[in-house]
Amino acid sequence: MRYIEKWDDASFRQFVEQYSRDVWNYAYFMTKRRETADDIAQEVFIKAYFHISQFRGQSTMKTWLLSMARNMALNYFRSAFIRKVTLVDLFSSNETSSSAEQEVLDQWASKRIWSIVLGLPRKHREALLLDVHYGLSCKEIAGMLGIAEGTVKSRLSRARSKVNECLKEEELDYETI
Amino acid sequence: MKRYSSDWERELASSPFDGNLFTDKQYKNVERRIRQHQGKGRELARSKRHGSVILIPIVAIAAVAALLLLFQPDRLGSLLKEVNSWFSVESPRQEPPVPPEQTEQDPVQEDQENKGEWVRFKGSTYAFEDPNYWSGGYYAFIVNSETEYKLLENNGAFVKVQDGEQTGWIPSWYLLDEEQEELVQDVKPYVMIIGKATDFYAYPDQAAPSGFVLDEGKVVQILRQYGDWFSVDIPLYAEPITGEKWIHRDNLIVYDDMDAREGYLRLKDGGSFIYGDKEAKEQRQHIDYKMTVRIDEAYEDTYRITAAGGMMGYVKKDDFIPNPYELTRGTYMELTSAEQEALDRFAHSRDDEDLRGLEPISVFKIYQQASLMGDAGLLYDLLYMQEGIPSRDQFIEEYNRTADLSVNGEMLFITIASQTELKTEYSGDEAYIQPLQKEDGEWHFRLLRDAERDIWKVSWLARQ
Repeated sequence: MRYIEKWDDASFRQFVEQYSRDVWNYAYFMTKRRETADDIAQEVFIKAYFHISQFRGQSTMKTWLLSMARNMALNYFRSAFIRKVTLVDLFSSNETSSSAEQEVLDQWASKRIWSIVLGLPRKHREALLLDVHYGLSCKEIAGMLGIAEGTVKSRLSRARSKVNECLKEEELDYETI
Repeated sequence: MKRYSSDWERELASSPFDGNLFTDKQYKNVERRIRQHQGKGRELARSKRHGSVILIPIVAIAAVAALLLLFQPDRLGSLLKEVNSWFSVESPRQEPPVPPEQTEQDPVQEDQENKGEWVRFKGSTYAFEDPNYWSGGYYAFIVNSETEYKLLENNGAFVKVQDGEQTGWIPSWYLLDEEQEELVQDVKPYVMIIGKATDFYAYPDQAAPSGFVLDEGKVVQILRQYGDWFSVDIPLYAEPITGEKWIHRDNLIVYDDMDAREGYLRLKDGGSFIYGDKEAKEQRQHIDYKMTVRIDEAYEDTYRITAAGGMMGYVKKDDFIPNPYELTRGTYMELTSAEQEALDRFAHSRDDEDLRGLEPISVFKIYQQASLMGDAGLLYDLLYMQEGIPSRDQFIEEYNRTADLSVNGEMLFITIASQTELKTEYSGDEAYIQPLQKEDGEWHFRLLRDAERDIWKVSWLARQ
């Protein structure tokens, strides 16, 4: 396999077009903040531009980019958590960006299943989305999250149970195959 | 082709958003910032070239110094030996851990200049009888960051210090540099889980781990913290006992019963049995004391386990209680049966009337129990409705979003509170739960009373 050592403008643009939706969505699934997802997605592609020569195909390109997005999201959480002390900061920042958030929220609010999944605790949410939405294997998810495959399976099982419980509670008519 | 087990999974496979929210404007931002980085890179390269001009005379001076050394062959010999030692680094992970004299840098000659000095350390740690990470668990005494100790020896990897009549060896990393500001912080113990198998280290940033492998699912109790490193206590079975065990935070995940592969056997109703077969037919040993076990393999109804001393056997899944540190938690936060009943009633009804008559301390304990359960809705319903409180949905979303990260802080707080004797102070319709021996800067937890109905609830931003 031939690996990219350096970008030219056209190939980099094509690369961003190919992966930006996945990366932005993942950053949003993690942080549920539009502005943060914007920042993270941009950072991911800047990092990819300068570090593409380090990509050696141990994972797929998509997994590599998602891993970077995840690390940045966790760093964001850590710094937000340190800042937080109380919940005041996060709640007030929610209010200030309400119009930008609303635009995004409006899109997925109509799709009930997404509201449920995005309401799950993060570790269940990300395992489920990496499996179902991104189609990653258990092994790939384990590698990306830095946990054992068995742990991935138990998180997936737990996440599915929670979603089913929520759906049942809301009496939505989703038939299990 | 991905197979979906339900309709909702199929729906999740497609994007929740119409179109791509990474816009052209953002792409242009990326391009602009790349150009900025490239500009900085070129400036850096130029400054490096200037730097090389400065380096030339330094290299020339070094060459002259080398020539001079030729006239002092005894010095040259020791210098070459030293240089050789810099380059002859062996891979430390290919061999089992050995005393540091063989794995760390070459021992420095006894530091005559430092001998007899007084030194301080970055934090609490064990002083061992020998300069060896594998000292079999015998330690002479524990040092702390508050006290000065007399330095007796320094072999590079370890220093030997004196405390009263006793002497002991401590990894040199712990020596407190005069300019060093960061200290190892002792924390009230709380549990986490190894998320990714790792060797442990004798101190943060040790060049190679001196410990054995801790497998994923192992439950560890955090005792100290230094930056992103945690010093932990671990359940031991047949492994050699060692001193400090440091793990980087990247290898740890927040505690969850589902992820724990260590715990103890059920003690209620007469205890549990260890069986000789995975069908749990052949009873081998009756266990009616707290015995820590590790799950090695899971079967349909049983686990194959290892217990202290390396004993192996099978236990019924129902007899396994996750978290070996569970019983070592304090008892001040345990709910009385009346409190448990009130919690059950309130969790079902969400009617404030079910809290009527409870003391503030009981509402406080119920609130912490809801926090341990991770029930954001219940936490919200226990709040006293006042100005400035976010909506229920906002609260729940925010709680779930930060659950992984805030659990640490919450767990730490609950652990601290559970090991602290508490008192309640009243001020009109306000109550403050706080440590019995409250010191300046220590926490308090605020509750408010609905005077008309005599119901105590938790104040928004209660913990200060």
